[in-house]
Amino acid sequence: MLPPAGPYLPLPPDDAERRSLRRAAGSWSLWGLGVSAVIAGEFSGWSYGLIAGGFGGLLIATLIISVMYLCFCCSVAEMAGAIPFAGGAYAYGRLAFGPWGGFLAGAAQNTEYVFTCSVLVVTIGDYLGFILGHTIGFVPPDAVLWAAIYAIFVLINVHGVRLTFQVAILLSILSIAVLVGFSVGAVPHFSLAEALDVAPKPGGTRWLPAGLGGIAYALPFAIWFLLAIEEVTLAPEETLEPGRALPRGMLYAIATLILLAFAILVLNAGVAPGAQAVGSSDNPLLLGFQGILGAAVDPVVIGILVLIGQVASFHAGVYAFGRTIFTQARAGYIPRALSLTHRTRKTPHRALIAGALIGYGAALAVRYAPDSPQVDAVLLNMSVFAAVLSYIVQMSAFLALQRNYPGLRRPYRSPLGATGAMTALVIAVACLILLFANPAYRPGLLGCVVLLLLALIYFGAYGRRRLVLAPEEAFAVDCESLRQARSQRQTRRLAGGQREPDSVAPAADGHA
Amino acid sequence: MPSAGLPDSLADVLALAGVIIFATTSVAAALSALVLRKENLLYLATQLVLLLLLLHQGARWAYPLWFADAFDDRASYDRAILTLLFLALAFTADVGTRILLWRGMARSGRSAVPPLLVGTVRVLTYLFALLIVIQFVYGQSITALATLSGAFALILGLSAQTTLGEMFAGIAIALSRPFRLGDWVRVGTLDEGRVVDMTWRLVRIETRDHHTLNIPNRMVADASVYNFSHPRRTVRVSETIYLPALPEGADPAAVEQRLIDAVSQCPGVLAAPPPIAQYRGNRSGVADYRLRYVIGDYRHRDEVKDLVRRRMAEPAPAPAERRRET
Repeated sequence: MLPPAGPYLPLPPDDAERRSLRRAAGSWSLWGLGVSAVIAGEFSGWSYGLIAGGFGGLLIATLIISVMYLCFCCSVAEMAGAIPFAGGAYAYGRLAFGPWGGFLAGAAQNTEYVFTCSVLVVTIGDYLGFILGHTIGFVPPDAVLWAAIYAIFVLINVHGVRLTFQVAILLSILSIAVLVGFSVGAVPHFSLAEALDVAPKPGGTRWLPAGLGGIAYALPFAIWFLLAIEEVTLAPEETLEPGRALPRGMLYAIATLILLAFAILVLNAGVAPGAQAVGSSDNPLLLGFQGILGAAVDPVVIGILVLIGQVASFHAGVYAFGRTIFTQARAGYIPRALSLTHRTRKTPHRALIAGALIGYGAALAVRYAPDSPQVDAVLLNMSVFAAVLSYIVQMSAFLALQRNYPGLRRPYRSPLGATGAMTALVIAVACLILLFANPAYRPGLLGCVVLLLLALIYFGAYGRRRLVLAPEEAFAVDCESLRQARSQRQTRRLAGGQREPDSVAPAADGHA
Repeated sequence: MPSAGLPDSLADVLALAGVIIFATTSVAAALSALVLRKENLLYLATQLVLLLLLLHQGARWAYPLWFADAFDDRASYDRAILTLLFLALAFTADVGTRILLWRGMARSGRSAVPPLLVGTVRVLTYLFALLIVIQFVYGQSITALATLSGAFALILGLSAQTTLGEMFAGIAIALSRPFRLGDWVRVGTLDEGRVVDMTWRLVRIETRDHHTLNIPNRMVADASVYNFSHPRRTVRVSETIYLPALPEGADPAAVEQRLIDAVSQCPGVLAAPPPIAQYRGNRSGVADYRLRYVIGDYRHRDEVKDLVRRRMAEPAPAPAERRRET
């Protein structure tokens, strides 16, 4: 039995004003945020699935993962409309499973976004070093380059939410242009033989070289195509009409990304040098461009094109860790000083700087640890594991809210209902098991488990006594009180032989 | 050497993906129904149909891959999958009828569908699926069985002709929606009243005298129906009032204004559009007035008329004669 959290500490009168965000986003801003958050995974990361499962295996895995993300997006869009706070998974976990559940979901989110950014900054730094070396002949040290990258994107995020969304839209459009340009260029060069050139193992076929097991091993790699779309759910407090714009933006984004994922999977695997080479490469799109354009094209140009996707996701990642640290700090789960927002710009500058410093430190560990490639993989796998864990918590929260709060006002209802959430949950649990089954992922999983355990110990020993009635907490407390009151009334009326009509939980407007 | 049955073409790979996805969604549908204690049968049924369809289409690889141990040969597998497929289709039709048709009818204001009808449709659905399985999957002739079923249906139809007629008329009324529960109506030349119930056999109306009028559905379907509550609940009432004749050269405007004042003060009469009184001349020693006004709800019509008559009676002689026209 976990010790209870609380009681809530009192708040100064101007607290809400000092920790508030500004609303500026519409559907297309959220579309931009969603696409930019994910798009790096369409540039790289997925290709190892070609070796694990072959073209057919990765194709099936991508279909399954697309179903999972579609179900997931519909479900979180419903929750984001009903609980429109910047906490995302933390807010849903808090209402469904109490402060411990909220903290675990929030900690998983923090891990995912902070470490994804630290891995991305290393990749971006490598590309920039390559480009600078070939153009001006000077490559700054990695530590300086990464600090500069972090500084630029933290400054954009601190400057204002409007600029943040504008940059996200711009980077999304540029990234999509690169992927569409590649796809259009690859169509005339497509050859099914290239896509099926992975040598079958004993018992395998050309389409499924590793047999049915290959599909299972390809699933974690297929996640890369759509990983981090849930960053959109961190934007309700900065969205003008969250109940309407958020589901729309999120579903537009996931539709765009699914289309791009299949185009890239088929066309990148199906052009020279073929699936075997693409599947062994860190940079499949670079190989694909070389395959269709030949060696004559300046590698710097291709490097710049490939860099755009990484930068887009890095920008969205900075936004995401800023919001998730901000909301957990605002409620007292982590030090409250991190939740103060900029006096005039209303952006969570302290949370952004704190997240950037942690990510920067992790990136330094990646590069300067004795066994650096392994640390890199560990951080990457930790973020994947944390993401899958947060999906499981969020889908469980969706089902718990359906069961315990059927009267909660939901401006958007998932067309797939509880079955959709359960489908996403079943596939996410399968992915988690498969991540465990793959020895390459185990150090990452172990790292994530250790980190989350440390976080839980901190919360149990200290954090749980520092909570305040932030918007997410106040909303959850109101809902719990209404539910208890309804339950008592029902008990009394049932004892008196009368029926109790469904009561409706309070509608959230994004403020305490 | 490829293992037996592993898909090796795009169509087979896509079918395999479909099998995995629909198996997952079927499990998810069953689990969510269990967790939420909520009926989820229609979703589950459609998932099962799609899953079985893909297993039938992909028999070439699905049988050796997963079912070779369970069935003696491919033909047994095909028969089993097709049987399950037709039964799943019947199940989908059964659940779909219950959720979309019967409950839909009940939601539209009708009382619960008779259990006999539900049971009959249900049995016929599964019987039909079973006949298809016997004829097309197992290749057995169903002519004798079908003849027997036909004869049985004929006898049933003839003996329940009247009831069935009422039932179909009820469906026609439910679809055309000439009125809803609570509306004030007059069916043909019968007394007007409020619709209090609509069943599969009759429409029940409560008249102004608080009598219950049971009108068979067929009669309602054939008759013209006045609905005083649709499309608006407000109703314009028009009536002719006879008052003592005016003296020669007298201005009828004063009496018209008295009539308007009287009707305006009655509760239930709407201020807009305003009441209108119109003098139409002296006839057989009495003055003929046409009075028009709008009331908020037709059920107050008699009370309003009564009040108007009383108010006109107070300062002046009572109306000589009164005839209503609505």
